[in-house]
Amino acid sequence: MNEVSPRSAMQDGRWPRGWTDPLPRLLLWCSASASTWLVAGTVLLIIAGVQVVNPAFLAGVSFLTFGRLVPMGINALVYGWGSLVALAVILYLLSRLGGVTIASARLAYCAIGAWNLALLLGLCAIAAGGGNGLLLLELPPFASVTILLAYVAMAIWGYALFRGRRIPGTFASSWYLVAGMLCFPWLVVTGNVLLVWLPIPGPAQAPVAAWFAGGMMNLWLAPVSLAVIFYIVPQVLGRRLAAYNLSLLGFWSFMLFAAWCGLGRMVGGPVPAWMASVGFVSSFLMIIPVLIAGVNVFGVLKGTSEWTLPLRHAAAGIGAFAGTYLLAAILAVPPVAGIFNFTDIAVAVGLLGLGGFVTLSLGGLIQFILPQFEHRDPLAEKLGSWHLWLTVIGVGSAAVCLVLGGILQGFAQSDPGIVFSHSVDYVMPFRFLALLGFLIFLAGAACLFLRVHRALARYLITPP
Amino acid sequence: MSDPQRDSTSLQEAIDLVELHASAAREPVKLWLLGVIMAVMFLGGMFLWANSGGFSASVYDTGRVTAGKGSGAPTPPPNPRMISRRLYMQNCAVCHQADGMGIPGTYPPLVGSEWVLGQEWHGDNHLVRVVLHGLQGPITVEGRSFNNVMTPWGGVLKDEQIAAILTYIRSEWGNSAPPVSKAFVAQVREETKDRKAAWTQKELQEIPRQVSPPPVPEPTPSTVAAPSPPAG
Repeated sequence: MNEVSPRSAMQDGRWPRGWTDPLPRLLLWCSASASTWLVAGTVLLIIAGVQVVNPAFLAGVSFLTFGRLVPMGINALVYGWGSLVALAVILYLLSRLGGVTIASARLAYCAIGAWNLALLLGLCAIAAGGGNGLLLLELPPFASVTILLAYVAMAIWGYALFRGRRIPGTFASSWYLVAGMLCFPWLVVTGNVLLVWLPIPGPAQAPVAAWFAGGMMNLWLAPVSLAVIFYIVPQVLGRRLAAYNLSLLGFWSFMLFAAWCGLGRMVGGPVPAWMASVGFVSSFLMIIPVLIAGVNVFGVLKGTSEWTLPLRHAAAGIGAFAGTYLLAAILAVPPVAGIFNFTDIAVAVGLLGLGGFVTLSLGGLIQFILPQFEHRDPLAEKLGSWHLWLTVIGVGSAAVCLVLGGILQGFAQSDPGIVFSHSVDYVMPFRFLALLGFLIFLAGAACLFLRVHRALARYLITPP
Repeated sequence: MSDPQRDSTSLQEAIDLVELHASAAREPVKLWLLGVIMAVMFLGGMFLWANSGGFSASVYDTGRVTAGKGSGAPTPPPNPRMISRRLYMQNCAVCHQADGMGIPGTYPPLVGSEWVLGQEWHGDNHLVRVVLHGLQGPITVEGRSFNNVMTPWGGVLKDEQIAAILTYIRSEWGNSAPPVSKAFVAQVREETKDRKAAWTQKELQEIPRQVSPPPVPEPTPSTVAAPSPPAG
């Protein structure tokens, strides 16, 4: 397909004769199951949050205890919501940026089904007490292996779409998509082998676990989310990114530093000095890709009047991206980490990243493709708008509360005159307020769920 | 994208997108942006150079690795004031609050309280009795009346700890009164060992006022015996 020139490809029409493009439908189905996981995961985390404020809540139900709810919720959000959408987004965007599509999505549908089933059974295994305490590696081996196989089935098409692209040259989005696609198996295989299947000696496990947990966000979900933002903004506005000449530097600095960022959590830990230092320096140097991405996007957005829903999603997403990595950089400064490493501020970083940056960007692309299934549905537009605002307000208010509470908690923890349990008591009002923020976020997630499922139902009742 | 019905990009638009950016990639870079990036990288590099320990697996952050047998340095004795503050926060701050102000109408304040400072008819023996066995019924503190119950602490806290807490509340938040000694607490505990119920203000007022003797210096505990206060 490479030898087809752009001009002749254009004359042939959009796709080869007789082909229909299955990717929007694939993304619709993927969003339907992923938005279900988004709602389910948020509900689980909110129940856990209520238990923090009121420990008697559901205290007698073993499978709904705090220690099982939190890994279930986080795994549902990362593997169910983020990763599932990210996979479909990779295929969809590589197709759009390459001017090609896939002949059949049968394999991809099987992969999504297997992924969902494996995740459901895996979460049940965690609920039954099968967790292992390693963040994002709690799923039992059968689920991890199935998810990895499902990934391979999807990634084959991703590779084919990239390899067979009809448009010569690449765009920033494609770099991030391909990088994310390559990082996911690297992370999951390394994490599972080194920590779960053939555990390495104890002292080395902590840095690997920190690298893995950071990497699932920084090397997998974040690049795909950035790709979405860099795709949506020039698409909607019909103008080019403002500082595209720096975007190659932005890409390589992001991928290089993001890989080491996770070690920032090891500052002050029992690891060789260079690990903690590299972790801090990488977190600090993430300022560079944040700056470049910010200039790129906000330079175009300045003065625009076409604030369509996907564009607002992208703008909020890039804001949350900057907030996440700036807060993480501040938290990794050694004297700051000494006081605040084990406070709610670390939770705020995760929330801004997963709930803000990833949810807003991936949600933006979902809302970008939904209108073609909805036949000008005014309620759908409203639901999409509510999703955006409720997510922004919920994540924003919860993050502010967690940071304020975390500051208080950090000082209380490092004051030898205050017992540990009191340092937790001081944070309670802030945790309660953050819980309200989570409830607002849940309402936003429910709006997205409703919009996607309405579109799916309409598509199933009246196929085009 | 004026038409929301349309599925994103046509092939022409995708080609335009890539070509548009391909030319943009060759434009000169904004100097201020480059300057900021260089400065950030320089700072990061300098920090890494100074703090990486030559990337050796055996170099640890010396400022943080102090625990364990091999550290050698003698552990400094704990600050007694910190221990007292901790005891207060653990046991008393729930009612009397961390700032010693109590809750108006419910829990009496300790700041400037004649009960704590040993003014008027209140003596140190009354204060120790209140902590040992608790207090109930109507009381007057700083001219305001309270009617609540204070739980007994004699079974929970040791003499030493009670002395530490009382000394703490007499010297914190602007309070200034002499310390209460461990021996004095032990003495009052001995005097009242048959007492079970909580005290009332009326009962306490009938007991003559006593003052804790100044604490004995630690290194010579046996040579100077604490002078026994007049029996009451």
